[in-house]
Amino acid sequence: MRPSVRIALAGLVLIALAVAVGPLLLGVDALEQDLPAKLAPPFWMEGALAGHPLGTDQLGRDLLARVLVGGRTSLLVGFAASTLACAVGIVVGLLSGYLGGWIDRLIMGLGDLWIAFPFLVLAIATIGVVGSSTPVLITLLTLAGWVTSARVTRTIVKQVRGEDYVAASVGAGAGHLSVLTRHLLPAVAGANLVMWTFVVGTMVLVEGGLSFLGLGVRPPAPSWGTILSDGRELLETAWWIPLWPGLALTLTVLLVNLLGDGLRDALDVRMDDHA
Amino acid sequence: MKSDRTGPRVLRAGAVWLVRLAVTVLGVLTLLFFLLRLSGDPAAVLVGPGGTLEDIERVRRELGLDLPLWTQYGAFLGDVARLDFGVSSYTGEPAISAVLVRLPLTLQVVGATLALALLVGVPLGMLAAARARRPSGRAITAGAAAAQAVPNFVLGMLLLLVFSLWLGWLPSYGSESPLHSVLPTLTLAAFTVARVVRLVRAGLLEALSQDFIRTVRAKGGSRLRVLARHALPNAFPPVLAFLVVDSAYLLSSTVIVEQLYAYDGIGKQLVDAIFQRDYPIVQATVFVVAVLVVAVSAVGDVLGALADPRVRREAAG
Repeated sequence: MRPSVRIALAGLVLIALAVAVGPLLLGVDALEQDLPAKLAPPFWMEGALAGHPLGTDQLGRDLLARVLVGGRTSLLVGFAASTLACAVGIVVGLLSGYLGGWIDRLIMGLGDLWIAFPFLVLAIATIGVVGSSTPVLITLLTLAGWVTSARVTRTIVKQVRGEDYVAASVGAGAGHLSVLTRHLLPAVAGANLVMWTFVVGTMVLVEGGLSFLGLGVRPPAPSWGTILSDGRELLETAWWIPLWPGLALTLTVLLVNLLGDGLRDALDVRMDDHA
Repeated sequence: MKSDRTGPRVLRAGAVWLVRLAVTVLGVLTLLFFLLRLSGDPAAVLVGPGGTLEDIERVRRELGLDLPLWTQYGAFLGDVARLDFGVSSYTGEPAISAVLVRLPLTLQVVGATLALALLVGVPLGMLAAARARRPSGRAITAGAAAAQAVPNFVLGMLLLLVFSLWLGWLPSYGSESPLHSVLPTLTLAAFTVARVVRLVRAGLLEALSQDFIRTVRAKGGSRLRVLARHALPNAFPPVLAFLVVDSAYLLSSTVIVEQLYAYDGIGKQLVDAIFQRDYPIVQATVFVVAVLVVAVSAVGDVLGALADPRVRREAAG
């Protein structure tokens, strides 16, 4: 493995462990308000409070606990949505590439239209109407993300289905399902792994953006985006509130991109969508 | 002879473009129509919390909300064809003009971002390719990777804190003066510029390894001349394709950036309208954005054809 892939993997595993186990070890309630302790600065500044190393927010809630618990929501939504989006994309791409003809043209035409539209605008309109919850967020993000994966899958299927070993398999009497699962699916796995990695980063970002606008996860449950949003009004006096979720988000996306770049080079996948 | 070949081709491209416009706009509006009608009662919103059931019933009849859904949908499409999206539930002005009044502020930020991508991103990408093995080239590449990873709302808060609240160089919230659009533009442009830097660098490095470039170098072309005159045209199509796709993404991102800086473009208007349940404004905004996106991709197709050396040679020959 290349060093960059190792660093990225190690970093991401650490972040995942921290948000999964961290809150249990810390034993501090991320929702507990303590008004006398409100707006405490982080540990290196004057006025910092013991027990609140990263400071507190305007309701006196501990920021370390909030960032860790908030990370659960952000990462869960990111992982679930990207996994679902890639799964849908693989199925659609396999069918489109394998069946060909007008079905293929119809699906890809729809995909072109779908991908061209500013997703956030539609998501905001939808959430404004149906309200926001974690399942709604995951559904919307899945709908937004399937096209790229479907396109890559379809392109590979078109190339592979003409290969001799596939033709031989069909000649030997293999059914459609068998060809799809035994020959085509493995052929598209590498590209989709790379794709999935990048999509995780995008999804975490979009969830953060929606929560930042107040259209994501409902308060008081924290996510990195909602903590950032909490810090907006008090930016000048309590800049440390948005600092921590901002750092967490940036670091996660940076590591995910690094991992994606490394995997792409290692698996020698060519993808025009990601430079 | 040339004209009777390009004539039909232009007509065909125009027809394809019109179909795409119609399908996109229709699809998006249909989605929106059913979403809005199925899950809320605009009449109850218009009347307000103090209204009686009779008031709501009266408004519902006035707006035609008591008719079957399909009849409403037909009437809605007729209205869209006349660009009539109704009036804003709050200000009472026609929704489409309320959106169009705010549009220039958004276009200004998006346009400035695209300009920065070309004027800053392309030269930086060339520099990064020309000095690929030196520290300065590596620094540009690393900086671009970092700028790509910072979410725009995080970068926006950072810029706001440093340049406006701490240093006081730039105004913080609002959109009264041209200076107010500096921070929103920088926030929006960071990702786009960074991506262009990486695309130009990758394209140039690939082009530089090809035979025809070595020929030009052997004939004594200077390094800069080779980069600008011979390698850049080959690196340009991916950049253009990215900028076209990115324009749609930028129109999305303005929603967040405008909200952050209280900048009065259509993005902030959309979010405000959602929170106020001002559906006519929401529909008009989505319509305008859909038209813009299709228009940008059409312009992109034309520019792409013009920029591709192979296509240009064919047209000239």
